Amino acid sequence: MQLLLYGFIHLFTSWSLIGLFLGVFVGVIIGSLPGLTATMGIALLIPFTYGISPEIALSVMVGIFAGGIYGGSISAILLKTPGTPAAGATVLDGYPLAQKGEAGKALAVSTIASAFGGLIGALILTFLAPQIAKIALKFGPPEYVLLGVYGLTMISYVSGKSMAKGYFVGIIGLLIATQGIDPISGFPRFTFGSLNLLNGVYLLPVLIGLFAIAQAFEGVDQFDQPKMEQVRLTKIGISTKEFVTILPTIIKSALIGTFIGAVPGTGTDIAAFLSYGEAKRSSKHPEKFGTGVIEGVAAPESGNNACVNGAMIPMFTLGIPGEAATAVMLGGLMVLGLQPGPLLFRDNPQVIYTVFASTISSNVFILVFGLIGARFFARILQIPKNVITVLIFILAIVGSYAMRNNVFDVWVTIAFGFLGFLMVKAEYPVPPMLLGIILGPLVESNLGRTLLISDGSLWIFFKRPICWLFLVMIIVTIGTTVKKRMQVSQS
Amino acid sequence: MSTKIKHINLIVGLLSVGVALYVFIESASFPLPHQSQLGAAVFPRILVILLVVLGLWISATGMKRKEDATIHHIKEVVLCLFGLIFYGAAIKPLGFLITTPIFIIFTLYILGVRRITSMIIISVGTTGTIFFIFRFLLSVPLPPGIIAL
Repeated sequence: MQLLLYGFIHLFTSWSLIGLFLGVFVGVIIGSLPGLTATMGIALLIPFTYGISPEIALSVMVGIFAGGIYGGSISAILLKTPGTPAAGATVLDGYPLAQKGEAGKALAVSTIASAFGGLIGALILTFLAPQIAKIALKFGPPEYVLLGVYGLTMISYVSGKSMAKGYFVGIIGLLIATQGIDPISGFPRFTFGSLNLLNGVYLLPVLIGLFAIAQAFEGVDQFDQPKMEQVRLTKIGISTKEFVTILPTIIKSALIGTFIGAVPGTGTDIAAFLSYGEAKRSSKHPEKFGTGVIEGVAAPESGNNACVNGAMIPMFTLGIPGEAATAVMLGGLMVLGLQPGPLLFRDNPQVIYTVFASTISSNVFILVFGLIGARFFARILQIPKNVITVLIFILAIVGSYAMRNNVFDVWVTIAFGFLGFLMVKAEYPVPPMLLGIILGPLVESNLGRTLLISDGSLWIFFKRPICWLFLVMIIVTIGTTVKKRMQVSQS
Repeated sequence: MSTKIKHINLIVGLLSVGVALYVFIESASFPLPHQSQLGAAVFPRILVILLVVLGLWISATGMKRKEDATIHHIKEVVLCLFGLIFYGAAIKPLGFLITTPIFIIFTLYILGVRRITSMIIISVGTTGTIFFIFRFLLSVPLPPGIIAL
């Protein structure tokens, strides 16, 4: 509690607050523009964090993530196109409401639900994460190997249509991670004789390539699509009675969202749809869902913003990303020189508690921006998409170059960007590659240490209780996803 | 006009075999491990074996389902790729302030923008803003090239 108080004091007396403000602001813009995701926003932002303290950098990232997921609802309501996949469920009732001439009410509901849902999620994150980290501090090398493998099984969930393609991409990521000096023998591997690859591929240009350049190429490929019609914006606000009606839905959805987020491998879109489904199921008038009811907007928006915070639980405490945005954030942490995982709580409590204070405070900004600035964000939606595509290209190239003043990083960005674009076109999921690159060194180096401890015997994995827990979780994850896939393909 | 890349999964499968061969040949020169040490070649070799198994599986199922990759505007995509390569190659020798407006105008033209005023406003505005943020707010030097500011 004292540490959290310190976090708040630090947030309010440093540049972190300005960083958070800007993060949420930029996040809402990025989120509201269809095609641009919070993940891309975080990837493009990392170069801007060069030289500033990790607290500020992380506050900006938290702001972009939360603002981005909220921002998606603006275009969902006004354009019938979710700005991010997380706002997919918001379209169902948000757009019909707007068509009835109540766009302002829909935006107010989505803002309030996002802020309250996010707040509940942030509070759970703040109080639960340190407890998990305490347990994780007891992990030794064998536990880390299995934690890494468990993290890799999350590929099952982020693979989209084909699990084989997901794992294929994941293994490519793991192979890329083996480039550079081997952690055990010190021998350089697969460097093609290049000094630039001696320390392996630098993570930042890979992130920017896969999540920003690839997106911009996608924009080029769809450059001649017509501009979308926007619904007229009415007075923004809801009555007290309406607020009381949606409050139970907001709380329930926030709990669902946080839980879904905390399970690695699920994401904000799943949280939103599940929250919507539950609100509809438990409603007294489920038949009205889809025609423009306010609960139908409140549920997904509360769920997805709570999920943002839930997703940060495994990322901060265990160092395993649950989905694309937290995977990129994890990469960002590493670029900042922080090792994600339980040690972060022991070695950098001031950073982590400032971040917690940011996650809680970000919701206030969402409330302010949403209720006062919605008209401005609606205007931003009018910016031609092609101009934004060009802007992403520039920010990506400059960002990847500026971090280390190295042209090699620019080539890596372009190469991974084009690869990411081709992968999307051929329906190969991109996030597993990042999981592989991030978790590969964790698994390999700890496997090396484990074998040294055990004199080369693999039995050590069966002699430790936490290892058993992970083994069961790994088997259950793979077993249930394979079974589910088989059922789907049969039907 | 859309372009279809046929047999994409077959290509991926063959590429995976190629990667596996490379890894096995390259890792043959890695030093042998001491007792109970994880050799430098072990992990990559396990990975490529898994890669080939999955790659061939994807090829086989892809052939059955006849999946293709469709790119709608391949000409514009390739031109942008060349634009990026030019930008990357020229940013250091020519400098940020010269290459950025050229790249912006080139890309906007490819994307169908023809109004000269829009092109000038967007290119100058973007270049100026990014230069200001990096140079003055973040104190990160951008390549000066032939114009030193």
